[in-house]
Amino acid sequence: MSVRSLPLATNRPGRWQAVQHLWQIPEQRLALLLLLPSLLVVLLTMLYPLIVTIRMALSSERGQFVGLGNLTRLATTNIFLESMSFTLRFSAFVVIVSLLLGLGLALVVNSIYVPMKTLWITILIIPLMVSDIVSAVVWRLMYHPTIGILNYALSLVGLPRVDWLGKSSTAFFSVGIIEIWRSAPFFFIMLYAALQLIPPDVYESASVDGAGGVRAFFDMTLPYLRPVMTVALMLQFIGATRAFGIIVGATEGGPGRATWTISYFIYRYAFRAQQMHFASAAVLVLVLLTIVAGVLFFRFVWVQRDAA
Amino acid sequence: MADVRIERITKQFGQAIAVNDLSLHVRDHEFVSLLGPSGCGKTTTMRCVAGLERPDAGQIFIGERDVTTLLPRDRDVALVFQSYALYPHMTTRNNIGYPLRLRGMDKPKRDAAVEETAMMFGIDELLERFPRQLSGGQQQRVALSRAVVRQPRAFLMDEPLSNIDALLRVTMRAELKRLQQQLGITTIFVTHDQVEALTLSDRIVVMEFGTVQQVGKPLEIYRQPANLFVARFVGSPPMNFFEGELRSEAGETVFVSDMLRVPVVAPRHAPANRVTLGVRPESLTVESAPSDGATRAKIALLEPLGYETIVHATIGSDVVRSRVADGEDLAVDQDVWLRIGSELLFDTQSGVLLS
Amino acid sequence: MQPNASASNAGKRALVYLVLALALIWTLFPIYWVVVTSLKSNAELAASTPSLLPLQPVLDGYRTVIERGIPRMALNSVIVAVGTTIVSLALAVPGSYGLTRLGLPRRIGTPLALAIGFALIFPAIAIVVPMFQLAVRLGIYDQLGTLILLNVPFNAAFALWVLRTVWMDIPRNIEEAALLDGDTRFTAFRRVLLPAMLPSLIAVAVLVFIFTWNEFLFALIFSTSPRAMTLPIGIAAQVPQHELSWQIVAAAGTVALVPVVAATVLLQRYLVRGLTFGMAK
Repeated sequence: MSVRSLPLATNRPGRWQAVQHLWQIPEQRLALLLLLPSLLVVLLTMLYPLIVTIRMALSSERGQFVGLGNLTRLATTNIFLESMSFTLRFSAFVVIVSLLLGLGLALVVNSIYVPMKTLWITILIIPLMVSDIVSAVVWRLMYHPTIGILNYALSLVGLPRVDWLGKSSTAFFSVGIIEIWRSAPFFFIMLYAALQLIPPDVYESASVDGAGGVRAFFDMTLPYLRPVMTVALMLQFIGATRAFGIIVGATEGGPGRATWTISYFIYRYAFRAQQMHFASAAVLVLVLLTIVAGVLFFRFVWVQRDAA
Repeated sequence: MADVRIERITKQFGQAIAVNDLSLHVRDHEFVSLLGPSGCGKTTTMRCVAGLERPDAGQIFIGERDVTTLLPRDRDVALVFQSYALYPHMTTRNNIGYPLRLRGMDKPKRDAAVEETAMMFGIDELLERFPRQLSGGQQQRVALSRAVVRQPRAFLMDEPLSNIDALLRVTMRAELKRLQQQLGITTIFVTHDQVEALTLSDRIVVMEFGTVQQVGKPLEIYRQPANLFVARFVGSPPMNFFEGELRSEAGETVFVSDMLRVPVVAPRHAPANRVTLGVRPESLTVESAPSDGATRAKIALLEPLGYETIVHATIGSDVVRSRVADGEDLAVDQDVWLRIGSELLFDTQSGVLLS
Repeated sequence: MQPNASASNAGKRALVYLVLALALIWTLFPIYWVVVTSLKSNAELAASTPSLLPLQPVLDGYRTVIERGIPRMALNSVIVAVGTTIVSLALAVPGSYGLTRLGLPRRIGTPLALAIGFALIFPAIAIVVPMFQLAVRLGIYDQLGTLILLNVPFNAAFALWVLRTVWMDIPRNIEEAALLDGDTRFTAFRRVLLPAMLPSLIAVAVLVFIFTWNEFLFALIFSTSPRAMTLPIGIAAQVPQHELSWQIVAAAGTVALVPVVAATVLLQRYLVRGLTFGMAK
């Protein structure tokens, strides 16, 4: 058995030869070369529109320079302020309820009483994969005044029918529930995964120290979950502020303008009212808020990773 | 098989010098350990030989070939990693056979070679398993098989025994020694564990600060440490040191410190300044009655190990350690008299061995 | 065990099962209701009390959906999703390798990683107006390729972000072992590293596919004709304004749900891995 006499097989010329040559250039230059295409695609997709948006936001619909005119008009446009307010209230509501539901489910599925955990995980994450528009349609069927099941259920227990999506007082919660249906599974799966990473001896030493049940949860479980919880909260909050498909699918902003989000506002002004320059001013506000959120988010994520 | 010559290599990482103008000749069939504390440059040296790092200066020869600028694959050396580095998506069979596959060996021949090697390491039952289904010791054997199967010109091993439990480590140590004797492949073995280095090696290279402190056979290193660093690093429990000076008294050379007066063999080069006296714990005998030339001490701590006892005793404010075969009649706080059997003298300032 | 302890265990067990039952209804009933509605006839939908099962299941909804070109839109969705997945991974796999594995100094690597992370939370609505104008000017408006181009950056950023953590979890020694065994850097990448990260790669691919399959905003603005309309647009268009024929939109919704639910059930392990950024193995 003489292995050494055999030449290395990978030297043969062939279809990979060109790529092979590429990979022999110095490491760091290769790194940049490999990164370049994705960076160009990703960064240009952000930067080019941003520059165009700034230019548009500073000029009128006919293209005359108006400085901050569009922005000041935005600040005095009631529906913009209402959209902002709705977006923030809606996102806060969705994220808080989703977190509580997701945490509860994660703890329940994690408990020793639940057999076939994989099956439960599979079922519970299904809504996460359903698109916003389909979720809206799915729930419109639930909410429908006559063919929906919810009002039928209410009538069975003798309660009056509710116009779930048709009145501004209930539309907030009704749309919120749709978004919660999609968003709670994310918290569930993140927190369930985080629960698996808690070393069991933490609980053993806690029970030796006399901390059981509720006490152990607040003293042991929660601190372990907090980093993951924060990341999930921020991601989902940012996601919820972008709500668009769900609004188009469920209410089209209605009743009246009761469920306009920022994204929906931009869409309506840019593509229905054909006021793209005015809409660009709103885009600018949204991007600025995203930068703030981004700084907060990455400061946290980065600090966390460096600490690990 | 081939010898490995390292000629004046230097490797820097940013401002830190990992290897500093290091030269070393590992002879054909020889088993050489690079021994030193972490950060001493031993792993970097080995990675330069492997081709995973390119030295900033100097040359490396394997056999007659200058390999300094060759890719790792063209050097025909095998490396066993501390973490084993098995390919997680391949079975044991494919892991071991991978280097052969890259050399274009056809499947039947490859399988025969893999099975033969696996048999040698007693893992022929595990050929269809994946690394995650193997214990640490089994993974270790797969990693060794993968290195052995292709009959490299040299073996490089980077702390291969430090991730397995103490009991298995002893077995694996013996197995490595048998393997190297059987195959006679030139081996460079990186370790911070002096027992591994002492038991396995033909020669040991003690390193610190990226330079060679001493090269020698295990017993040479132990008995004639070239300087204070080697003396301190090799030996467990460590050597005892006393600082003092040499005096000539009635034709005899005597080492004198605050607590000790020891007649010593005069060094060839008489030092101008202070000297350090080094005594191995086994060269320090413990007597329960005073006698001429013995120094009074008090027992501070006893560590009975079964086959011997480590005695910690205080002379003034210094703690010294002695190993005695039978320590049953000793007790803590007891007064004892220490007698120095054989000693080494070092120049305190330069650390160089004088005797 | 003390009797009251086992009684409280029984209580806990009952509570757990109750929660699970509610969660099951909450999660699955809306989906069940769409499927049931899609099988109902106009007459049945007009009934004053809805029935939990279709009394006389009919395929009217599905027939209408086919007449209205939904299959073509589903095909468009597949094309856009597959195209986006392939291009995104073709960018992100070498990109994430370069970002993490080739000794890029931190002062370069960290800002690049942050830029990619920022793209991850960049609002899609913010690029729509300039890109719309650009697409019209270039004459690539209302084309499937344009939808792929729009989806790629966001999904490539997602893939880069997840794969970056995947690469960081693969020990460098494995690559080095391959180099010593006789691989070049490229063959080690192709024959050892890629197969070793395959499960994570599948996870990312499935998620990118589903994200794009679900994408609504770009599809709404950048397609007007059936040749570029995707399934979400087709579904939104089936929502009846006044009449009761909800079985049509329910049928279209069911068409969109089937692959998503199937993928979730079949690829659950991979999905969880990707969604939790590799936290769950």
